[in-house]
Amino acid sequence: MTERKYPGALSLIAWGTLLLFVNITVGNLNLLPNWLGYLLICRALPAVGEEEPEALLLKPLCAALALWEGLLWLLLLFGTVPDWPVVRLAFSVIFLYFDFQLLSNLASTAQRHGCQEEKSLRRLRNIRAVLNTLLALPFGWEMVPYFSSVMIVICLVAGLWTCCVLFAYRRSEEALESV
Amino acid sequence: MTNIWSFLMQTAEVTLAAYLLLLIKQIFSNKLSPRWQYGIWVLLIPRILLPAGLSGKYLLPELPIFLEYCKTLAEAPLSSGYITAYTPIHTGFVLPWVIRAPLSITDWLFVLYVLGTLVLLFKYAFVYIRLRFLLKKGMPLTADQENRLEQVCDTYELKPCRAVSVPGLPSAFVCGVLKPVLALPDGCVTDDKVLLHELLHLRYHDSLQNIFWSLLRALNWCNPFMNYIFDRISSDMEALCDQRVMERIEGEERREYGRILLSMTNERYPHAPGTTSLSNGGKNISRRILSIARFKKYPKGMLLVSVCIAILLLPPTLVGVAAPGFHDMSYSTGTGFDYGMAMASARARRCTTPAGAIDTFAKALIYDNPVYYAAVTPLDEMEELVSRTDGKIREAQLACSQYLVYNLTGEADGGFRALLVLVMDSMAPPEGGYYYDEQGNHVNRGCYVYPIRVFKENGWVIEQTGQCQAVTGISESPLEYRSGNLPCLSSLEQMGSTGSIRIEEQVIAMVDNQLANNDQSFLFGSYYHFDGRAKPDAVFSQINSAYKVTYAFNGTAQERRSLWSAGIATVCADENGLPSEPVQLNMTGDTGGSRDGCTYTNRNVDETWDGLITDIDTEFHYTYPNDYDVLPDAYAIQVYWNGSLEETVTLERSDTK
Repeated sequence: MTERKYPGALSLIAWGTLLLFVNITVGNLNLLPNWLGYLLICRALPAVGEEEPEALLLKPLCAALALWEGLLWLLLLFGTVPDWPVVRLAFSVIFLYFDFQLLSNLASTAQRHGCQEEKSLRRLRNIRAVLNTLLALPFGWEMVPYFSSVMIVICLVAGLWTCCVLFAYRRSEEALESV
Repeated sequence: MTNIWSFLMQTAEVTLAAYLLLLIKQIFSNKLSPRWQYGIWVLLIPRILLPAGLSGKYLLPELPIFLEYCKTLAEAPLSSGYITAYTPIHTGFVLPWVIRAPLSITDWLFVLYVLGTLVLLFKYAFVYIRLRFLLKKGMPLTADQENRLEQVCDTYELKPCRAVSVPGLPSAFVCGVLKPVLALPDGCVTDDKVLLHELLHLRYHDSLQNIFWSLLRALNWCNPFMNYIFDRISSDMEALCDQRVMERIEGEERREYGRILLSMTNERYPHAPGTTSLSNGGKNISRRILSIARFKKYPKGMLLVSVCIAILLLPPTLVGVAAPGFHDMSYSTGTGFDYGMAMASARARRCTTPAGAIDTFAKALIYDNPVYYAAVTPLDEMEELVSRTDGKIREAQLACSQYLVYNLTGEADGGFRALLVLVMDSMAPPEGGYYYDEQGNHVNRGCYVYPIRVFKENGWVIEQTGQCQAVTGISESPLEYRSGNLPCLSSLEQMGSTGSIRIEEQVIAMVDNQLANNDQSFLFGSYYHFDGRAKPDAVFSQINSAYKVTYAFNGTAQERRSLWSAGIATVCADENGLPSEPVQLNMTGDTGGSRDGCTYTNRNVDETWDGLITDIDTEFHYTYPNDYDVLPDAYAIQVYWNGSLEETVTLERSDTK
């Protein structure tokens, strides 16, 4: 029987998401770069695409995000923070869609396989879409008292929750495979 | 819009917004449905209808600077009746308006644009009216056509409209908004799916949308890119109608529909405002066929993210992303293009707050920077400034690392008057030599005082209302608190039973210009230096209100002999007014300080006492947004003789001299 690649892909996606969420910076060097996270997810997409063909639409977006994060990582290494508001906006839009559709595809697959994480994935997807939109809007949120602190807490919780759900979903799929 | 430059600014901003939307649509062309692909164009509408730079921001911040530079170059040798070389480009109302007869070539270009808009609108009206006349001559439908139309309406629950058969029509179309007419080609059988397509246009008022887009196209008729954009919008509208048709038909009928579209690639099609047609040109049909082929392949459940993407794109398309910045020429000796762009940046980037204008003016004085001068110069003085600065970047710099704004006072017209005080590290007369104090000693500390008026004229600008005065010597207190060497803003006087009271008030406003230098902070800690970059949007970080109360004893000689101590306590009214009960203080010996919301000074009295007691204090106000009215409405001065409260004198704002 051909081994399903899907659980392995979920591992890559879970670890990739963790890399996007966690940053360990020494001076200007981010030891857990975001571009690596996107590369992991990119590698996982063909396997996800076998379950959900729509997921293959995400490959060019994932590659673009990896390139963009790679560029930012390099520029930061040399002490430069680029001020390209329109380019940043375009990639915020791409990331918003990418994140939403990826979780949608995972949720659809989970639903088809009868995994209980399906509802969590959809809920997570919606919350992250709203959060990402709020954070990307240029309304000077940092001027609102306590907003930064509240958002940091919410983003921390959302990030941890995402990682937990993805790892749990991976375990569910692995359990399914062993049955 | 009243001149060609306003139009160029407006159409350039609209073009950039349209390009951004086109780029995003291209990224999501195979991911988000035709519904989103057409709906996202809605974001362009407010961009077209709102003036460019309304919020001070642009999609490309350098664009207004470049246009301003081009305008100055072009208009300087001309005598335009619509704009001057140094008036910043201001879009204002988006509809073009000719204010007087054209005088220069740029005026004639604008008139040409306006005429073009009118001609296009007339053309639209003419074509539409001619089409309606043609349809009036149309023949009633045959029984078979009527039955087919009725059947389609019943099957898909659509409302019918008047229908006519017209000879020579290439394809069916709907014409009209209030009294729509469905026109069918005479002599051939119109497929049910074509009828469905047209009835869906009718249901979703696509004719009305078509008219609306045509009006917006007329405003940008001479912009080839925008013409392309409006063609795309029209095509996307048709693709959305195709989507709606595909959602209502099944299986083989979908393939049939695609074949019908394919057969129309080479056909003419009616193209007029207020009309819709199945056919809209070969290239557009090819694109629509691709969309149809993807009908079931668009990811499902994307409504939330579609809306989020639209929300994210709204602010930049509507109000831009960043305001243009000054081209700082502080350390450059550039001429020509660099100088022109720098001065254009100053005209394009006006100060948005009174504090910003004062900050920019202060730094213009300190660094002798013509760009900063230009940013705060009234328009009628701009030409004189340009000729005075003569393309040279001054390198003179005053030895000044701080400025203060004294006695900021609001005026009836919304402007302000103030004294701009440059606190000098060293100073010397312009003609050379030294300043001397009253004792004949050489002094090089002090300040330069500039009386200024701040008012609004296309942003906040500064007018110097008097000669600069040099005030030498060191103040008895830090200038941020008060200065006995500088004028007071106002004074209040009142006579009590034991003596007279005089209160002199000053207001001192500051912008935070402390820039931390953290390069080696881990070794030496942070240190601060003066931020020499102009801040056109600054607000006052702190406004201090300072008072000096002087009590002059005017009791009898006997009372004077009986005194061994005298003191005063000053209580300022807050938002609740003055306290109803006097503050109880133990005034003995030489004391001074503050307690219970008041300041007090007491002194021992001997034969050398000159009869005067002085109490000084400064209140700090950190208000955002800036509240310039910081002086108390009233004071209560308590007079103490020999530690006992003798009288309380109240001074109110109406006692101001």
